[in-house]
Amino acid sequence: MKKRTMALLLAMVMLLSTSVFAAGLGDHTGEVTATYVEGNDESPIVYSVDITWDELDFTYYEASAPVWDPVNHQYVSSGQAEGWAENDVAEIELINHSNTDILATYSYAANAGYESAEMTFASTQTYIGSAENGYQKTATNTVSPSGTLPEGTDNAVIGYITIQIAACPDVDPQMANDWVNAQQTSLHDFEYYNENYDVLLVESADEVPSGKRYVLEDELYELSGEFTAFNTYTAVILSGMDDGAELNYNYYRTLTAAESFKNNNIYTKP
Amino acid sequence: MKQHHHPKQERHFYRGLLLILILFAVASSAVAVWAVFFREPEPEEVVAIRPDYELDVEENAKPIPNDNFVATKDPKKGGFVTLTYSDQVSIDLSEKTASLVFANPQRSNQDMVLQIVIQNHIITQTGRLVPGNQIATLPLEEDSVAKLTTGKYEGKFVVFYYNQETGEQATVNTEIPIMVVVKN
Repeated sequence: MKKRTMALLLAMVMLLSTSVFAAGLGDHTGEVTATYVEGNDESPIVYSVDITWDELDFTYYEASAPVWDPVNHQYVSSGQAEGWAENDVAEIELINHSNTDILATYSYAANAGYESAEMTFASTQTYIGSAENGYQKTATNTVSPSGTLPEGTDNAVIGYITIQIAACPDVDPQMANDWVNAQQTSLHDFEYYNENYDVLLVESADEVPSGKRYVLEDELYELSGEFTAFNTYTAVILSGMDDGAELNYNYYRTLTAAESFKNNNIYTKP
Repeated sequence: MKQHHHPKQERHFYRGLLLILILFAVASSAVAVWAVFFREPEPEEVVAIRPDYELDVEENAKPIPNDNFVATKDPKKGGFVTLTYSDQVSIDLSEKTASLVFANPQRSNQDMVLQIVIQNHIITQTGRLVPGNQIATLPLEEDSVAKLTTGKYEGKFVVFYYNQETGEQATVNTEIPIMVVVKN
């Protein structure tokens, strides 16, 4: 009996061992997973803008009584006329490192009690092109005080300048790529720069077709009519101080190959 | 004395008219009471509110990797800043956080304080963001979360600058239009 029991137990152990051993061999199934991550259809826009400003510290001079000149027996000016100091002009420079165009808008808000003093910008808006072509773009603006200052003002903060940096408004993309800016000369000539800042040789109207837009300082222009050398053409101001105004230009000068500029995107008032 | 006789129809007419006038008076009074005591006032322009310059350093800021540029502009002569950012911001109402991209690179010589403003409400404001640091997430206060619902808002960054040596606020600031997407 004992032997039978032992044999039965041994057989059961062997049987179980076989099952366990069998479990270590044969097929195993494991799940394989994978994930598809969508890429960007377009490179995301990254804004990076440098802003540099001069010290914004201005001086207002009260009118001084003339000084008696005993030699010439007359009164002479004390030297400083009433008003803001002559050299009271500060520069604000923006450099666009972004992969998109930007539009900078400048404004000033006076603190309470100093509303008599105003700040005047050379341009209230500046367009600064994208740096996608490898060149950073720079725009320089100036600000100067006007109006008057309350008597007794001593090193007081009279207001704040706000620079709004926004995506550029809709501009003909072809225009934005081919014509970065135009600089108006005193003879009303237009010099067109491509994105590499080489001055183009424009020899036919096809190179500057009608309907194209360009930005000059703080105004967005659109050319209308046929544009040919030595012809009359019209630029309509689409957006700016004189919306809808038409400027007529009667002369266009073809540029020579020697007239080329690199990395020049500084706007200056004509 | 001549007596006036009022036919029945006239009495009804005058009663109706009186009732209408009474109802009108009650409605007008109700509107007046609401306007005086219960109407929520239009939010005032608050963007001009400037933070005190002695703010703590923003605790959610992290160093910008590989940013070793050394600012060279003399801080006594105006200021120099670089703004690096995205104009897309997302807000998670359940997490009470705002996700954004905003950096003050090492090349700046000014500390920055950033506000996210939506419809003249300051949704959140950072502490001082020292050059060389960036922000990816900002916590939102309960009252800010309560003002928002899911959807898209046109908002703006308002950036103030502070002299690193004196703590004095610069007289130049920057505003940047942004798009804020609010989700639950």
